[in-house]
Amino acid sequence: MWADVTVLSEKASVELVRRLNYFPSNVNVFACLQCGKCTSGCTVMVLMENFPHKVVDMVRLGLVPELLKSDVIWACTQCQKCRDACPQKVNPSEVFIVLRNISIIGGGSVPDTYTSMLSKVLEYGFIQDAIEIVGSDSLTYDRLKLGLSQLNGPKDMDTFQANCMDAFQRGA
Amino acid sequence: MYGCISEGCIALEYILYPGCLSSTDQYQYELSVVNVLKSLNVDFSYAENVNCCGLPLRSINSYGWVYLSARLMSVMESYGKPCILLCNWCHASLSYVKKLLNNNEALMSWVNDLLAREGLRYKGDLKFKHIIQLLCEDIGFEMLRSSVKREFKGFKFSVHPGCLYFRPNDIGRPDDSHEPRMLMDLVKVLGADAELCLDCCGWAIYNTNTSTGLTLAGNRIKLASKTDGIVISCPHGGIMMDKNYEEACKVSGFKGDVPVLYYTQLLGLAIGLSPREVALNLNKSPVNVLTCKLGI
Repeated sequence: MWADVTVLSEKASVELVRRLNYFPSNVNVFACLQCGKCTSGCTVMVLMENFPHKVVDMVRLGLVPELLKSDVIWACTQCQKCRDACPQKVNPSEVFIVLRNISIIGGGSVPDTYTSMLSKVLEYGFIQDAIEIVGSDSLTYDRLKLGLSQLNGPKDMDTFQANCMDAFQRGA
Repeated sequence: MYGCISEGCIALEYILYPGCLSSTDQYQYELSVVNVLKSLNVDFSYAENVNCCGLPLRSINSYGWVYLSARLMSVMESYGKPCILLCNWCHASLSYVKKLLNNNEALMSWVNDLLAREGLRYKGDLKFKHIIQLLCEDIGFEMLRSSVKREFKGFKFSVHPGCLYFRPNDIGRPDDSHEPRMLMDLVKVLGADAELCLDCCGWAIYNTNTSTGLTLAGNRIKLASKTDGIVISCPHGGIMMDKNYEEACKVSGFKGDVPVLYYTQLLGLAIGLSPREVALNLNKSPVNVLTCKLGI
């Protein structure tokens, strides 16, 4: 049988590793071979010094609290290259998502852009309201001027908002 | 090969869901899709009572994402027609949530309890296609070829299908995850040469780290410097490489003119629509370079 690797760290939290399963997303950190394929193809490895195989390793060593304190969990552009490249179906891109989710559920801060997008969804149903665009002819265009129909957001906005609040707070 | 419906025989009616970014920002995408579909005699109507697919918000809470995608699908199911999506994220999100719900009864009953408060129910039988898939599979190359009035002979485009059109493989994507060919074939059918690029436009990281996002977009634009432009099919690429063209080029130290436009804009020009009908005046990248070469 596998040894309980969580004892390798005094700060290890078995509970937090377990919480990776808070959502059914097929994350499988214990299958990782540390081959580094994910990291070699990572879109932001050079720009942001993100090494997905190290993040996966830290998770299985129980170093989730350290990761939650680090900006590295937000240094992923969700291009899904690592997920497709992994020979063991570890799913590194999902590991990043779940760590972000756990961080926020645990009271961690939500990056401003995400807060703004969520508030727009609650207000309009979409991540932003329809904006005006200045064309190359220096004229200002909106949906109406372009002959496009009005946005068709949720009709029962109150229930939609209540449901969003419930769903986005699940696990908290 | 792809399926094909011969000219004038498209029996299907579709509902159209443009998605957040196309309908609130990247109007040139929605408008060019609408005008191209009309020109090709494809019947469609807009879906109403719809919402964001939730994928951009998945970083906050995955259950929130599942609710939003399931709600969107349940609303669109009620039309009983196949749905056209314009955004890679929407398509990936619905594919992924559909798979999750089909394999997880607890998740399914949780989401249906929420949906029931609005009188909705997710059944799981929605058929949806990305516009690129629709052009390849339902309209078909023969009809496209016969509709071309303005060929792009001698042009070479850098084709950018966008990450989520072909990744991740395990949720089921419309195209091959290592060598996506749909957008390549669609560009070639207009008479142009095409080279493939599978890079990321950087939209998702742009949300938390602006300069990294812009660097990725700028580097991507730089790669296409020897072509006649970048052809995209996802509004995220449009935001990063067209809307942010100037900034992205600046951040990555690139000086040059690379038009960035949606495939439906290119197709529209090819089938005889005017630059205005495909809303080229809303692009921020130097698309005038392309229209000058075309002499329009």
